[in-house]
Amino acid sequence: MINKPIATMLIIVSVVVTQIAVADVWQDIAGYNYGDEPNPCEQAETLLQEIPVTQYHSIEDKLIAVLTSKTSTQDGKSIACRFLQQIGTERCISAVSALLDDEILCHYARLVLERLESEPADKAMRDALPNIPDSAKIGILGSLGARRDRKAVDLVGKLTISRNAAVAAAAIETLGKIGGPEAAKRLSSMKPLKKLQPTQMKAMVACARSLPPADAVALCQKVLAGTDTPSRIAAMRQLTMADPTKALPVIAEAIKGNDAKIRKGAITAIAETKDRKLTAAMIEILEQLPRERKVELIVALGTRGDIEALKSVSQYVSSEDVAIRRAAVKAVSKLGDADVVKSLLEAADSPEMSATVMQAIVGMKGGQIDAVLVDLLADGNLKKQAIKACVARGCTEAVPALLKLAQEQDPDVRQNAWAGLGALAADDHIDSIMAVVLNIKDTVDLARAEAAIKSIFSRADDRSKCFEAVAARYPQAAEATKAAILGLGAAIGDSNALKLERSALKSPNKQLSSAALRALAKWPNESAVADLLELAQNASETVDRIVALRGYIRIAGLNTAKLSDAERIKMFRTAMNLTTRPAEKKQVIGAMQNVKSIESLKMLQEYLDDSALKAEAQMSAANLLWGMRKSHPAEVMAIAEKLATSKSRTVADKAKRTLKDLNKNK
Amino acid sequence: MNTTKTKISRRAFVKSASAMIVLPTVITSKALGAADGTPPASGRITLGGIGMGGRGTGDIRQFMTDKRIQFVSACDVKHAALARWKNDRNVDTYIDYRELIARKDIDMIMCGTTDHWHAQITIDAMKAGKDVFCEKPLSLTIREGRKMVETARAYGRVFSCGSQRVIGDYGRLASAARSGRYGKILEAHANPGGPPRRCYLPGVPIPPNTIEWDLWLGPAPWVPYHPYRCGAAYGLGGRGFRTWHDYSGGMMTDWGGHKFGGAMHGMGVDHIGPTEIKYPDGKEYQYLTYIFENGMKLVKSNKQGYLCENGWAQPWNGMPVPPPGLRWYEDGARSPHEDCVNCIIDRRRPFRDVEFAHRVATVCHLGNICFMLKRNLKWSPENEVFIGDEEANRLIDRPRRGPWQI
Repeated sequence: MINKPIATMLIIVSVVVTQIAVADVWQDIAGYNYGDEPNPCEQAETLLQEIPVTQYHSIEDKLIAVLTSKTSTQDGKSIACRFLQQIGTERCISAVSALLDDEILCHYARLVLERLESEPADKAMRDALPNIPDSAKIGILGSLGARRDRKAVDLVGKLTISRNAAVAAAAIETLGKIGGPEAAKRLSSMKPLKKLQPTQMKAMVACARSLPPADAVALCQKVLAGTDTPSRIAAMRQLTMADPTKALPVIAEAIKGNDAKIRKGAITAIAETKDRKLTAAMIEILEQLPRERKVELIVALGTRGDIEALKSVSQYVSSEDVAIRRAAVKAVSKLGDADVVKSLLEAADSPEMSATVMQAIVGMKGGQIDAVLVDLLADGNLKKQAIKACVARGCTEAVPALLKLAQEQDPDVRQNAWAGLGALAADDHIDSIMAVVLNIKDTVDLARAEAAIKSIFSRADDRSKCFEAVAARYPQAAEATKAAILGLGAAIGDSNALKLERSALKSPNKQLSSAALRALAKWPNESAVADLLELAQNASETVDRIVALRGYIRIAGLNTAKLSDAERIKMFRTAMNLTTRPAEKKQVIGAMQNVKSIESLKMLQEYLDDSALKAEAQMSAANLLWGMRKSHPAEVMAIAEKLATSKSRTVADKAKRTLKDLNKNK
Repeated sequence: MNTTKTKISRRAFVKSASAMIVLPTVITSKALGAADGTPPASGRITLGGIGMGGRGTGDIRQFMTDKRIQFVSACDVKHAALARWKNDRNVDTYIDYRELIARKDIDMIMCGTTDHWHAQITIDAMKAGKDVFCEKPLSLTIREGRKMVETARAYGRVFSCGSQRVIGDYGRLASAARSGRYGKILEAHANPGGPPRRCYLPGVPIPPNTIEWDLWLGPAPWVPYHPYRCGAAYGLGGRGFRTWHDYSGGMMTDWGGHKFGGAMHGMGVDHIGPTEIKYPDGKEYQYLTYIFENGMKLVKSNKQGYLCENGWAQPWNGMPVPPPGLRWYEDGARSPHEDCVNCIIDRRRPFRDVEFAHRVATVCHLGNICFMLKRNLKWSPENEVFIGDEEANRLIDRPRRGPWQI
């Protein structure tokens, strides 16, 4: 344990050492040049983060010393300014201001002065402005504008007639940023060179934002009388905020006029300005507009979101002009509520319009939209569109109605209904869906139902439970439905499904045993391997043996099957021995490229010269080479050399690439 | 009154007149529009690209797949970035972006420059009447972002920021969190990466015909050239501009545009901002944490996700995307590029409108300032100032060099 006097001593020493270190770091900055090592600036950054704010004043003194020292480097002074930007106070203004006439350091001085909330900082920049080079003037003008220093208006105003156009432009811009009545007066009375007029207009628009509405209107009207299009658009928007009544005729004129850019500016103003009088005014001129402009205005009225426009815009939903109709659909969907859904669906009378309507309906907000859509599922003419809309909105409330539609007379409706059920129904709908499925007579419908149920399985939280509900209906089902249920088992692949398939395999009914066999051939995991092998060897009919063998080979190459490489290779060999048909042999060879082991490669080697199988064997082997070149270089090299001479360019290229890599790393 | 007449010599007249006779008028079929939906040349949106490095070129290529777009000019201060466009007779090239935006025939610009140029270029472009697609991160400072919003509104321009991942990568996660299945969102987590640092690289000679150094620096403080200052290398490894505080907000803003953008989108707070920023003290706050007025937290942790009342939200098959109430691209757009073009035509605000992009960028900047000052901060999202912290308030903006004022 350290006694008290020693502990006190250690603290004193550490404080002294720290202070010396601090002093050295700040001193070193004075002589710093970019790239110097060790770098005092990085140490200073860390120190600044550790030192309490109350001790900043001592750091500030040291940084001021860097700025005032005659021996400090330019880089050192610039770094000192960066630190002062963060911690400087009025005490550093004098030292910092001395840098304002330096072309490079002027900007670093402004880092401090512009961000320092202090009237003396403003004054320092104002005082420096007349006496510094033009390049530095432009920067200070920027700072005065950023600080909105109204005391600088006179000084800045004088520079608006500078012979240096860049300085004059900067001064004009600065007046706009400073704002206020004095700046406005100067801006509106000045007569700058033609090339500076757009700058003047933009400054006037900026200045208008700082004025009371009446003054802002005067300034905006002056800009509107000018020729700079972007400024005129900005003035139009500013006018709508300052005095919407005065803005109305301006916007109306722009909408009717021939200047496309001004018109688009007006359209944006309509979309974004909330004054309601504007809606009424635009509705009034909507009818008079030619086609293209009508489209623009309808869209803008929709974006604007004022329900007052709904009635007027709605009439165009049935327009014969597709562009107008599309615009109206978009607008109505934004303005209207559930009441407009029906008219929107009625507009979906072509594939193109249907896409527009669906997009519009998807974006509609409001609690009743889905309820109306569900009601429209019963509408004789709109059923199909309503189904699409329900699907697009993910409206699960539609499921019971869709189940009814799935039993309708019209095959198109039934088709859409099953597609809708596939997209919207969930686990807890399976029972009611199966109740409908049991009554299906049409094989096409049965296939649609099967697809819908598979789709529900794919997103079910508990697939096995889902299949249980399906399988529970198996005993009551007709033969064709039973076959469909057996097909669904392959989408699940669990033990219950396998049990059902096995029992069906033994059925004397050929349709069922065949359905079970086909389901097993599509099984998603290794649990059906033994059944398939047994069938491949012993099924009474050739076709069944082939189907079973193909399923067996498929699973051997299936990535998701939990089989070791050795088990897979064994299965491939078994399959090869079971068949004489090239088709299945080729299937084995194709599946072998999924087994990335040397045994697989060696087995493929046996077929590289087999005239019936060599093309497939070469391709599979070539696909395995690259992945095994590091683990088995010798074997891979031997096979690659052989494949490099292949007639297949793809195979040869893959082999050569592998060889190149092997030779490089020899 | 002093008037001037343009004098044309007889020789010059004959020369130009014969040229007019000799040259046939060639109008390509494409110029007149095509049956595949390509509008006639006069109906297309003309696009200029500024900042034609890897990302900028990628954006331009994506815009060029849209038949409504006609790419007409490319601009970059790095000569190599322009080289690929020099031989394209349909594309004019510029080194100084001011020449490009001065063209009255250009409707829209894509800004894919380094971060420190985004505000200047896009504000100048909007003041020249152009609509804008700007890569993320939106800005270098908080005040720059606000100026970009103000300019877009004042000049009636469409402005879309380019974060394709907000919906593309994180949209499903946001949909799961907002589906209602997991209850109310309590926290969103995201890890964009770290802040930038100051650059102390030495000056080296500029290789001839490579870069216009002063123009590359633009509004940033003048420093000597070093290739690693302006390099395109990704990350904070010291070889690319994103490492350096003068030109970038680091990975915090670069990935923040995506990851914080995605998180804030899902939380429904991308139009406001946090009120408190908690520095990770290793005790109560293990990670940088933003607290919003409604009590939700945004945590810069090691994962991307939403902690809700019923656990971490996970997307599931068949989940409605987007769920009701979650903002999304409109009119069937599938990317911010397509959304931007749709909005330019319809004159409405895009999904990544400048206000949303600014609010997300602000959160990133707040994080950087918090890391720099190593203390908790209080923030007013309405006034966009720190409460009771003058030192922090100085970091909301940076004075800009010479003529580069916004």
